Amino acid sequence: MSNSNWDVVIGLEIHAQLQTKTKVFAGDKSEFSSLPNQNLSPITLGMPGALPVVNKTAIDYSIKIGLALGCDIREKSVYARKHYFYPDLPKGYQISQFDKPLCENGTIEFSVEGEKKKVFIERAHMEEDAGKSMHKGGYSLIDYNRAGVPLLEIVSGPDMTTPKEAAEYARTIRTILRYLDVCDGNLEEGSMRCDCNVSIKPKGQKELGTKVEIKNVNSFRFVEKSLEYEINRQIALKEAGEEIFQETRLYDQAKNKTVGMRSKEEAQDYRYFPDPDLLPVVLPDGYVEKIKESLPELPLARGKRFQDEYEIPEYDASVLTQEKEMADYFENTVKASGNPKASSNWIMGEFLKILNEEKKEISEVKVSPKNLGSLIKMIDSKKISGKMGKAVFAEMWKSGEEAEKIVSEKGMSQITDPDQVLAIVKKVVDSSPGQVEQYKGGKNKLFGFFVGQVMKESKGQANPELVNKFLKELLDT
Amino acid sequence: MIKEEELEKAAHLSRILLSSKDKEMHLDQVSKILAHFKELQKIDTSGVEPMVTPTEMENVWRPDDVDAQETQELMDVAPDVAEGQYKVPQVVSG
Amino acid sequence: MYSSIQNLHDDLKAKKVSSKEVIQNYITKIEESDSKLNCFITKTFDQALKQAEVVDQKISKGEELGLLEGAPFSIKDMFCTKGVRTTAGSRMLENFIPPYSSTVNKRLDAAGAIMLGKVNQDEFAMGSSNETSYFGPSFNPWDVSKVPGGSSGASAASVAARMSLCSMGTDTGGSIRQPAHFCGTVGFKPTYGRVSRYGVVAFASSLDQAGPLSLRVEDAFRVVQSISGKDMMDNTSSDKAVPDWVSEAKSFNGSLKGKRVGFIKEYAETDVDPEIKEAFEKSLKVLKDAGAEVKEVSIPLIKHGVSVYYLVATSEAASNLSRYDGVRYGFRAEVEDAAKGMSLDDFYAKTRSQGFGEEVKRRILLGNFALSSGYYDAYYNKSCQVRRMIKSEYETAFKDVDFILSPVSATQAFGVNERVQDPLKMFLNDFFTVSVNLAGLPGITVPVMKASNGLPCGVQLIANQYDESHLLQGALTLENEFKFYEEVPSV
Repeated sequence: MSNSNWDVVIGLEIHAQLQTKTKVFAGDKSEFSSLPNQNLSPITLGMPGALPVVNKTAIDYSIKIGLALGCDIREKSVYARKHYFYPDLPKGYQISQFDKPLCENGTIEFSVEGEKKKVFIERAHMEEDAGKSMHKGGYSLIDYNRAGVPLLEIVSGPDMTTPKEAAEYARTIRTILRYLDVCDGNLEEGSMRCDCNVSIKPKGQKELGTKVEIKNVNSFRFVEKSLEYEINRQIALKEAGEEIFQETRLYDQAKNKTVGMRSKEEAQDYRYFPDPDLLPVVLPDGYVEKIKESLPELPLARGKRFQDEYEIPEYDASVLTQEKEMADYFENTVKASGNPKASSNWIMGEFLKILNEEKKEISEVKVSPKNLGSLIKMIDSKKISGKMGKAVFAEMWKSGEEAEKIVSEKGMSQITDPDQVLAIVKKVVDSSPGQVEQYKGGKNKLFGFFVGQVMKESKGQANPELVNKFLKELLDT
Repeated sequence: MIKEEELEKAAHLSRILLSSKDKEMHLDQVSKILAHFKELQKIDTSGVEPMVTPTEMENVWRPDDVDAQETQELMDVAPDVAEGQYKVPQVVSG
Repeated sequence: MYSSIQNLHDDLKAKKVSSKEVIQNYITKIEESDSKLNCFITKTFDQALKQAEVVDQKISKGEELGLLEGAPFSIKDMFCTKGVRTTAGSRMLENFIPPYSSTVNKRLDAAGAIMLGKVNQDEFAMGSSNETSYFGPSFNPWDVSKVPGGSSGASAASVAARMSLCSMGTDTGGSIRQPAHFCGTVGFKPTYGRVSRYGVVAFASSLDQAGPLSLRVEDAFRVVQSISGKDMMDNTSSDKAVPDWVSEAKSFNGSLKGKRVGFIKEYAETDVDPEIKEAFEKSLKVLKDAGAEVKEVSIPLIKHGVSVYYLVATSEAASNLSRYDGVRYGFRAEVEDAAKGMSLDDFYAKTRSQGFGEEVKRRILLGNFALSSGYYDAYYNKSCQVRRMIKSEYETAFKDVDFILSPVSATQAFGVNERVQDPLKMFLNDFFTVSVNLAGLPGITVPVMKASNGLPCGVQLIANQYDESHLLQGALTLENEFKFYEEVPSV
């Protein structure tokens, strides 16, 4: 099997669940409920005579996303009905947008392994979510809590050529959604869903191959893995002289493979037509501009600014801007510390390490940017050593106390008085005559032992430069 | 005229079963009706924007305010419920 | 029995009669006559009597009465009524008790109307004869071998037979105006968007409009005035100000001087029953005598109205009725061998095939055919284009005239079972009414005379969107002349 004979074409359809209080066409709650069928109304259940009325906030959030993706926002967009029968679809049709979507023709940029990549956004259209079916033995149970929750479906062009690119594209979309604070982008909980379309064609051929859609992909890692599997499957089929069927396949993460859903005997005929219950959305003059003004600085722009303004490397800038909270945290730390480089290092190092170990969100962290800034200042002014800084940080992480307070309460400030340091060094040297003899006999490695003993004696507070200086004076003469 | 396979497709899309007698009747009646509709094709409609609804209104939007509902009474009218969920018979492939 | 709400209110206020007595009289009349007419699907007498007691208390306290206070109503079974079974004339909803009420019912309640029960109709309002109901046909009170028309047939029959003073109907292609003509009542379809559709079982969303049937013109406007106005639950409901038609009716002096009444050339060229023509010509003369200028207008595309109407209506209906799947409410077919299971498609198809009647199934099939890939442009889309052209032809006509006079139907009420076997003929029967729905116009049927066969004949007035005031003037002029409300069927 060889990839080198085949071109791979990947496009993604991302469903972003908009964080509105209520559903897109009904006033029942949109929030997650642990109990089934709590968020219902005659509208959500498609009861006779119930009519949809669109939620303004869902329109505004969709426009925000469209603008952030560089899309044109249609002056007039239209809701359409998409018909199919399934028990979790209450009306026998889904309200969606068809030939007149709210957002179209955008692009986003990101980099994959240092290479810049641009992906075209064909469209982003509003639609309602369906409910959830659970298949039991002998029957199925339906929960309509999720039915009618607002979604924006973001459809990329077939612009990606590797699974890595696809995963990075999805990550970039997630970052933007979270920056806008309109979708929490949680793949595991399904508030963001990725359907991956992939086809292969002989290298250089223009005409696209038969497309397969992969559903049920609930992490970025699985975007990559499922596509890798599917590409290999398609290549193997082709190279064995077999045909690829246009179908939808589910990703089975436990087995790391894609599995065909039951083959459909006929092509779907969704019978789209404009919903006569819903009026077209016609955006008044200045409406989009006003939303544009309210957009936050987006990750790509912010990352570039970090590189220029704070002189930090591109990689650091991209990590720090992946989450809006993280970028805010960084900038506030810089403000407090006056040292961008050190702020970046601390956050990229200790901070992220513990954050990831404890699987925490930035909002749960007890160390405020102001306190981290003071800690960095103390190190810069040599009040404490860098090593002690880590210990102080660990303490701050647990208690949320200010650095100064921890340092003074625990007596952690550095001993920089030469007389005091000399006294400790002397005490150590005097109490280890055996080691002194060995050292003087040529066992230079023992120098480290003495440093260690001094640090132990001083509880780590002795200024390391003075310790070195005095030890050398006492031992080498 | 409607062909038998077209009628069958429409019946499937409609999730309506047709006996052979039904089919015969519909083929005849639906064909007559469609033949009548054919007249429309003679009208020149080029450049005419289709009219979906007679109202000229636009943009009636709802604020994002919760209008909570007593859900039990909504579920009381369901044909079959189990574990607080809507129950449908076993669904098998094919 | 009363023929107007105003008379009822006069008697109630003068304490000549109590509301409870009035309601009791109507109940007695229903119990006498309905076995012959089959109008009521569900009766709500206990509730009605309780409401009447409240009205009597209000009167004894000297409180002001609502516009419809104490008026006995029958309600077409298309309107969802909280706690009261709502069937839409279908097996699919045979046992459906909605946990919510339509906006119309809420506003009727607020205006003091009293509901006597829910009345029969064609299944999902699909039909022109009331014969497609799962609950059997209703009959015409003037001749029980004839249909009452449809789909609001029992609404018209119950008013004509004095089993209710007013009724609420729905009109998608003539379903208020045609039965009003067949049964000799007033039937008023307001402008599309005047009355909220929330909670009214949907047939075709862009055509459906609720409206009243009554004996008197003023009552019809009184009802529409009470139920009109913006409803945030219906995207298509209008925020246009609702005129005070009750006052307009009181102050109308009977003169149509300066008004222009039109007749449609293409309708005038159509073959109709001679007495239908007679009713039309008598009416035109009355309007002219009242001072109106008579003008001919042309709506050339009107001859395609029925085709456009049936394509739009069946497409929307196929979509609107896909919610009836036996999962959340309504009828569900038995699953014979639950343990073995059945395919999902079979589950749906069984439920829908058993739950819907022939006419409904035919229209769903037609609609899904018209929307399906390969046919969408030729059928649904084409008809929406012609629809716009018809609307603009009407708009042009209304530059020349203030309202239009036309027949309602080519014949009087036809015989039970006479046309069921020929759906195309049944469709063509709607020729004089459907274009009004396509253009979203207001239209009203006013009864004019009894034909030689003893059956009523009415005429239709049509005005421009939101110009119901002109209909009021024209309709009052005809009513003042013909006084059909004085005729009472012997049933």
